[in-house]
Amino acid sequence: MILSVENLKVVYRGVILALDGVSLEVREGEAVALLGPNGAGKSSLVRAVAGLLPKFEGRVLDGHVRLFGQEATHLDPVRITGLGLTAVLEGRPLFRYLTPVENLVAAGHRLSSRELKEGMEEVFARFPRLYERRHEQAGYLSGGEQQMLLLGMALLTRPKVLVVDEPSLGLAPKLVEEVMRTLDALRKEKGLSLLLVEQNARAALAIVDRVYVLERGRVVFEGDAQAAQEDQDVMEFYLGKEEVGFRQAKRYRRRKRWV
Amino acid sequence: MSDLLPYLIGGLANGALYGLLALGFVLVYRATSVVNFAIGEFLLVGAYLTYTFALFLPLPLAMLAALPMAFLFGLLVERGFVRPLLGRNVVAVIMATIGLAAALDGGVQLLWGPDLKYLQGELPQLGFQLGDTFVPSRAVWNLLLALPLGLGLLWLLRKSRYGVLVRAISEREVAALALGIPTARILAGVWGISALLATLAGALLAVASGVGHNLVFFGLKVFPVAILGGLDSVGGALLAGFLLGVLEALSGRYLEPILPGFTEALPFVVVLLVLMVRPYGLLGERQIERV
Amino acid sequence: MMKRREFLQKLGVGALAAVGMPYVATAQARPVKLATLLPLTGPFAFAGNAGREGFVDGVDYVNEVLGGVGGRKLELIVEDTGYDVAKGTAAFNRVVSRERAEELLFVYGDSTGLSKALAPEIARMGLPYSATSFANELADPKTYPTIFVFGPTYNDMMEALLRQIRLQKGRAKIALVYSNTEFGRDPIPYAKERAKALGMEVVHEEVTPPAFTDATPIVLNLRRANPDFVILQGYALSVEPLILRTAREQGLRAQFMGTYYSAELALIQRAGPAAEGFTVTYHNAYWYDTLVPAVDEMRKFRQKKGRDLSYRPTYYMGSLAVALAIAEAMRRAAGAGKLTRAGVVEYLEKLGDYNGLGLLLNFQFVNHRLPYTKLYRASVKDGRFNAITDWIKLA
Repeated sequence: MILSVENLKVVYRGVILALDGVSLEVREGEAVALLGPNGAGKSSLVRAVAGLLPKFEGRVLDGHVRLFGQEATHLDPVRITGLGLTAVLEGRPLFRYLTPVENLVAAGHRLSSRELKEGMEEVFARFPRLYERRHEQAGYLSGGEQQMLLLGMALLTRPKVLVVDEPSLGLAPKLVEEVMRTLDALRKEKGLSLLLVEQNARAALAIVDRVYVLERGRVVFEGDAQAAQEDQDVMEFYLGKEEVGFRQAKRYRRRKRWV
Repeated sequence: MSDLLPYLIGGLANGALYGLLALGFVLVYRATSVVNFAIGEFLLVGAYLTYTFALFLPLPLAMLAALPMAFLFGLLVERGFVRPLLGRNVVAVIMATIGLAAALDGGVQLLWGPDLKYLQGELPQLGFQLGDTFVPSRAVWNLLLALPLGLGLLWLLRKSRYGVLVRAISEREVAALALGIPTARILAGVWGISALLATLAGALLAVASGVGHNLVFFGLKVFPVAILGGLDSVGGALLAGFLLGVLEALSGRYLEPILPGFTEALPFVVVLLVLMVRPYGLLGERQIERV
Repeated sequence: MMKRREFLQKLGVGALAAVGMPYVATAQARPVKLATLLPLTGPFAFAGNAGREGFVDGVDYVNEVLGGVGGRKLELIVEDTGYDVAKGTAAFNRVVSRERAEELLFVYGDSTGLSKALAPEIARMGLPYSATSFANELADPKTYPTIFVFGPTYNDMMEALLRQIRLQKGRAKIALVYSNTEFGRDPIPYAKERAKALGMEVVHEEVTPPAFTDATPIVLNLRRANPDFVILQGYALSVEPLILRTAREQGLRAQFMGTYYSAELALIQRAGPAAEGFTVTYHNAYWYDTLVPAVDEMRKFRQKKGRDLSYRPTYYMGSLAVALAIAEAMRRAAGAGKLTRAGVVEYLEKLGDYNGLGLLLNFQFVNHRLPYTKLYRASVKDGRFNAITDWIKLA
């Protein structure tokens, strides 16, 4: 098992319960999507597995995170990335005042100069537009370019498992598709495992093997991508096949509680 | 002009020390968002460290030997005082550095005693005649040490991999952490460098003024200098240091006869004027608005 | 910026004050108390702590060698002011509210600013008072009948320097460099007026902050004005060495002079060769003046007590002189059955035949100050100030 989360409970500031007993797994070479609406606790899960909860005044109340079979619940981010898990947080967490080159240098801090150079060349070969703008401040790149840069940075941390939080946020549909395609290609090429955290279920489902749906800090659906697509409720709610209002959302929750 | 030149030299030499101190101050502010009100005490501790080594080493060696100790001192301060407070609100951290200043004041007095000290020995004479102006040895030393060190640090910050990491952490610590960058260690290093720069400034000051509590007041100058340069601009701090040094010297020459005592207020007047035109300071970075 | 020090000062001062108060009242008769408010922390900690030591030695000497004051023990109270008027005022209030009026017979305060702030209250309480300050205003028995200045005022010191200048050069050109503080400004009007009266020309005036790090503009301005003599006032060794060194570097030929608070050996150590010839007023003895009975006595006394015999600074000698003189006045008051605040004032005014074991010419107060001083000149070779005059009477 590459990444397993068992009955994880997370609180912020000691009172706000964000995850209420979440369990999930990512197996070797597998791509898994974690879907759910705003506030479901998706980002908390990302922070928890990346060891970043303390930076958000949060902590693990109960449960475990295991990485490659090793206990990793309270490890610090330096150790966690060292083990091979890299998380790309939501909100385009790149260094906006740094150039793409410098962003990549920062990301590749563990590499030797030579490895770094080669790694950078690879990233630029894959994303020629980044190369063209390699000496501009990253804050002035377009949203799509920033997302590409982030993927490039993640690669330079030499991960075995990649956790990506909401890469589609704020991107035009065409770009979302491109980001997903790139992610999929990278994963297959590098043999990575992937935990893709998304609100945009349609985009995510296109590239994952299995799906978890999170609501109010609990897992309410678990199954392979095919099953998710066939599940009427998941589809209605997340893919917007119909106008879904508040009442339907509640109905969904009610019905799925015993799943 | 030959009348003005010695004033300019004096101003630059003094400004070099402002620049050094402000450089360390701004580096810490950028990297950790901590406004270090204890910067004057860093200088004080540095001067006393130098004093201690000068008791048994020639002065240039004593100054050199004090630097690694100062770096260590910076690390200790970061570890013991700053790190536990990171992430707390700004006021709490500011209060903590104010408390740190008081603790260091007292600690220095306890450790070294309250009596007046001086640095034994002298730096080699480097003064020279420039036309009909004499360039004093102290001015040469200030510039000789501050300028390469300041510019070197700027260069490292711009170009070296370590510098990139410092800048990355300064901008977005969480993002850096997520990439597995050992932020705590690097930030501690930044405090160490800040203490090292303050120590050098303190030693250069103490050469002429002696070692004593009055050195602390030099720390107050760091605030106008840093604000003038743009609080987040390391290069700006160095530049503003020189600028303020020169302006003070010129004010001493031209304004002091008309407005006695004005030079004391000058740094703050200059800051006010500059901020009216450039709210981010001379070299402060414009916020990138687009996300 | 002053506030930030308070926290530790509270911590540190507790400890320091504890060391400074060796006398827990054990005497059968109630003790007589002398309170000192000294800058034990902050920029003048060096002077405050040396001063405290002078008081401790003086009071110990009075109790152990002279047998106390009329059979009662003299007790020393030490409070820290941090050279801060607000803190000093609080310390003063603490002391006077805690101590009984018939026991607390003398308070020694700190700084011109603090003394001026306390003066009206002191006058109201009829409390004998002196201070580290030699400000002219304090020597004013009509307004402040209980305040004494144990030495010449800054005006007197200027007078002494100006007389010396006139001896050295007719129609001299002088420059005044002083800090923008009460301490710095105090004697300036008098100095300007007297210089004119003595036929000198004040060619330049420079007002500076009390501490700074570059003396180049000051010295270059002086060089342009080209004075024969430069008088520094209102610094306490913080910047004199810098000014002297810069003057030497810039080839300024003028002779530099200063007053009491510049008369410390640290000036010579800090300024190096540039200190040569620096002339100061100083009205006590130096620790190396072993011919002075007080110095000799104190060396023996400290040796007996196992205390450090190395150089004691001028602030120590000043405090010692005050402690001895005040004890003598108290003893005389006690002899006349008048050991009260009013009695101490009365006998301080009649102390003219006492000379504090040679620490001063005498304690003949004129307008509540002691208008005598000597002039000393720095000798770099000796690392000392050497007297260049005998006592100069200034009033």
